Amino acid sequence: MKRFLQFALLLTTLFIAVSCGEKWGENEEITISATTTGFEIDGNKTTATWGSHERIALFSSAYHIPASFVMVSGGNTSKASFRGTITTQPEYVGVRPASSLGKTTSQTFAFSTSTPFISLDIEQLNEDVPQFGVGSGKSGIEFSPVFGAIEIPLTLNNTVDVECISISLADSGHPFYGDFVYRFTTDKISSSNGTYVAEKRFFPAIQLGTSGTSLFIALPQGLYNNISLSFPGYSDTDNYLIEASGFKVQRGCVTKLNPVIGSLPRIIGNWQLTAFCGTEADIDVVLSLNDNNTFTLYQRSGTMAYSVFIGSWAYNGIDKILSGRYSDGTSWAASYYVDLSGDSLKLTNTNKSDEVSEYKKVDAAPNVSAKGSRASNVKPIL
Amino acid sequence: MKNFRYISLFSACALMLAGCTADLDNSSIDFENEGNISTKILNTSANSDKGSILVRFNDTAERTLASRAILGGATRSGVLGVDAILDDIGGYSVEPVFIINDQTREKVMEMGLHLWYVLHFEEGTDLDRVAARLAKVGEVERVQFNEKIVRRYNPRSESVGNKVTSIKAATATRTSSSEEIPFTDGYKRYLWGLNNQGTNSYVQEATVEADVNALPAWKLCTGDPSIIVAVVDEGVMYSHEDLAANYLINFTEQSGRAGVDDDGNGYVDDVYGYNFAGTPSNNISWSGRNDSGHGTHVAGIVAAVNNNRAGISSIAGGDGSNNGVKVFSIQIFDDENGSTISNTAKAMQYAAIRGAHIMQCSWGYESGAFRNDNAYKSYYGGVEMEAIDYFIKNGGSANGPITGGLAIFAAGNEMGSIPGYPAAYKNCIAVTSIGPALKPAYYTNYGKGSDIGAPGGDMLYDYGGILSTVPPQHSSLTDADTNQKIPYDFFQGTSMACPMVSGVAALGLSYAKRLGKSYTADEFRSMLISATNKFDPFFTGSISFTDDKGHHTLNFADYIGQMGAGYIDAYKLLLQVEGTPFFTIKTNTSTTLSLAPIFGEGVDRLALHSLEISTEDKIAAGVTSCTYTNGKLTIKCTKSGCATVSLSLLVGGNNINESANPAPTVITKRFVVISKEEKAGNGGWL
Repeated sequence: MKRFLQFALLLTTLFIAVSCGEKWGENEEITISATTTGFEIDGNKTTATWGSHERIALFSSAYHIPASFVMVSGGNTSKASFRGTITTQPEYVGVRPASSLGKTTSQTFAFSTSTPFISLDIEQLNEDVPQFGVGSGKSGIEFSPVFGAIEIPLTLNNTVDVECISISLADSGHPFYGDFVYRFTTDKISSSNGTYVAEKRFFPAIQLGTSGTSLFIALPQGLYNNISLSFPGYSDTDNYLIEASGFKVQRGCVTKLNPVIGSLPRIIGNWQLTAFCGTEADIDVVLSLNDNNTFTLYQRSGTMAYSVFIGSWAYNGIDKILSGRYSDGTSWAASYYVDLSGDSLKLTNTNKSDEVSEYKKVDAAPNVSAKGSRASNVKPIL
Repeated sequence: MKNFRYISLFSACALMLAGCTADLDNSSIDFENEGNISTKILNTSANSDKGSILVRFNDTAERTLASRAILGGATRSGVLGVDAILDDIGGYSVEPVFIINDQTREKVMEMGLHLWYVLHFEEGTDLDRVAARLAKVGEVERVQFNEKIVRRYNPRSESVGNKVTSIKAATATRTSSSEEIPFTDGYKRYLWGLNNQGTNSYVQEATVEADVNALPAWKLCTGDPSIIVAVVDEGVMYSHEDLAANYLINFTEQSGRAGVDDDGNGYVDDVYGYNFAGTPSNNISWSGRNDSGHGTHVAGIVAAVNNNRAGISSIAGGDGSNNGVKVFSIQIFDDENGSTISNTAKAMQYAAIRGAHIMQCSWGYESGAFRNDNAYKSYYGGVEMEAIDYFIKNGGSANGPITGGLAIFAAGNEMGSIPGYPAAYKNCIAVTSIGPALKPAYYTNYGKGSDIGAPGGDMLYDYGGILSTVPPQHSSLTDADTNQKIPYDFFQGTSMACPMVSGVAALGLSYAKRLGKSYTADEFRSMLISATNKFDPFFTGSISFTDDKGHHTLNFADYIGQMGAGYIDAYKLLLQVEGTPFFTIKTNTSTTLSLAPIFGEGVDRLALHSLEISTEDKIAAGVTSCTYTNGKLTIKCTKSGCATVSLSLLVGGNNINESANPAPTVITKRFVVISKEEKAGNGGWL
């Protein structure tokens, strides 16, 4: 029996209201203002009230950016405020939506700065999903997966420079046990099979309904166009919820957001280049890999003052490959195999195995913020 | 005009041929070289101290003198021939030129300075005859009359321009730029040498680039009290309102017993420094009728206290929280008195004894008095040169940011086409002067031997001088609001340019201290001379003026390539302290790199001295070619890898073997060239 998947999503976009360049420490308080109704996260407490709306899902997690995710049926505009970093597990408030398996839903996410907290129009196509089929159903296991998958093309139609998005998926009926795999396919990432394969993720902390769970994936800037999300259904899945949030990533605003496939080695931090191709040298290069999947690269190459590059990185834990893209859209010259040993990091050019850069972990990146602010004061320097 | 000249060179070089007399110790008479005795006597007694003479012994006497140095307390030289002569003459005393004690012995002997002795005689002794007799002694290598150095300039002479007689404090109505000096010092708006505001400046003609670029540098560092600058000059008014907090006090002596050398440095009660002029004493003075405030002015440029609402700002004067560099006075001019050569040499050693990192010397001999290092060394027997080298080797303090010291000298103010010595000596940093419009100051010396330029003032332009601290009795400036004389005044000269460089150097060392970096004196000197901007675009046009020597027309293009590597930039020096840039090239591609980030913008005029890449690095990066031409390095590597290039260039000349003129200064920088198969299109490392 075909079941139709019924989506009714309200996508929320939080543009975190901290000034660019300010560091947001983990326990530092910020204030985020957004517009919705009846929704409030205050400190460690998460509550939401949505009037008569039927489907509401609220996610936030210590695993995730300390922001809010709202899924609600209908296009209600609401008011929400956020204060503080969420450190407790979130709670789900709302009514589980009706199930509608076996259908395809396509939708466009449009991020805009017209309001700081945006309701998105969602086109619900309710078309059949060829790949998805109900198989044998239960096989003696209560939560056995169905065969096939739900394929959801997601098109992002940004009107602002959203630097990172987060997509979460929830099966309200069951946690994603077993061989659950979902795939994001983008036209920006090339891997061996052209598919950006995400590892299975299980966030038991995210309770949706009584036994649901949710998946999160964050894709760095420039990697999220034309995303296709694929995931299996369960025979007794009642509904799926998908949410996406676009983030205008500010310096330090994001705490733990890993566009990571597989496990991420402890590469977050500041790395000072110490040697290249086996030769130790006095080279001023510091790579700061931030846990929001952005990087800042400081280098004194051909200039007296540090040049600073920013961008986004991604890590494929299956192949142990670090790749990235500068904020101007330029790809890194190469992707790199990662070899981490304590406070030593080796990055090996995937195209040239003898081109190895060696780094040591340092406490702090070069302090160049003051210089940036006085750039106009400085005489031209070649 | 405050046309600051320099101490004069009494250049009478006629050799005094004294008649021979019977020597008491025939065994040490230099019969073989008797005909060359005159060559041992290096100068004349004409302008020398009447009661002393210098002798440098040769290696034959080294063992004897070494034991004297070790044992100390000797009243005789220990060289039989000399002592016999002295006994014959009578009324003498003998002492090493340089202080030899537990603190200095090893350093002095290492450099052979224990071979220098000064012999004191009673007034009226025929020193010419003494010199002739001493020159016959085999162990005597050189005999030198202890020439006196005196000021040549007249501090009360008139400027060729309009004399500024009053200035206004910060409440003046002139619109100020947002990019003004970030301190509360009242007269900061006149400090174009620190922060030139161009057309918004008080200066009659000004160019925004004509300053030391202090503003961005101050955002990184404003000074460090562990960095010490010795002002070898007239006495510095240590009680000046804008200097006192940054003046180095010898607290051991201040709190010690009067008349006792409490710190054992060889000088008794040297609380504020030491006065080597006339009869040496611990009394630093600045109020003599023939004094000018020169030393106090120089000290203020380096380290007047910043942000104290008083007077002026300075390059390395801190931010008002007692973090400026320290200055102290080593006085070699005092009223009508000057130092002698031996005491000047001793003063330089004293700078090292006190742990000075920088020896700031706005004095020197007139342009052309010595044409090259050999002439300079020959005339003074090298005692001054060796004392400079002693300071360069032994200045600074243990565990400081520099091993050794920097000897920074003014190039001189005679419009001469060669800097005066000691500035032109290759181991010194010779500073030329620019005015507020970034033209050569009309008076500045220039030419081979010049290392670097700095704002020194040009009073052909209103407010074109350098405003700094002076003792009140030497000021001719009043505050326009109070109509009171103020202890500040405008001076001009390479004397003022020189402390600009000293101040920048002190600031750089302060920043190095903060970052925990350490350099050799040669390394830091190379960094300092490389922290420059280019003169050439500004050296256009000409100027005519008349002074007491007549009418002059200067074509500024004539100065291109003659003023040093460029003009000093404090911010660039601090960036060099932070680190040396590297270059990334693409493998198998011959790439030409501009070396301006390494050697300064004027690198295209610097000649090659040497270029080295180790064999290991050549192999590692597959370096197949590397050449230097006109400020650019062209290099090709065939492998991914990195190669460290050690490149030495010449400043102030292009011939390292120059003998007719001052030898160029060698500056050496090491930097890394990385060869990669792939480079990001935007230049990013990854």
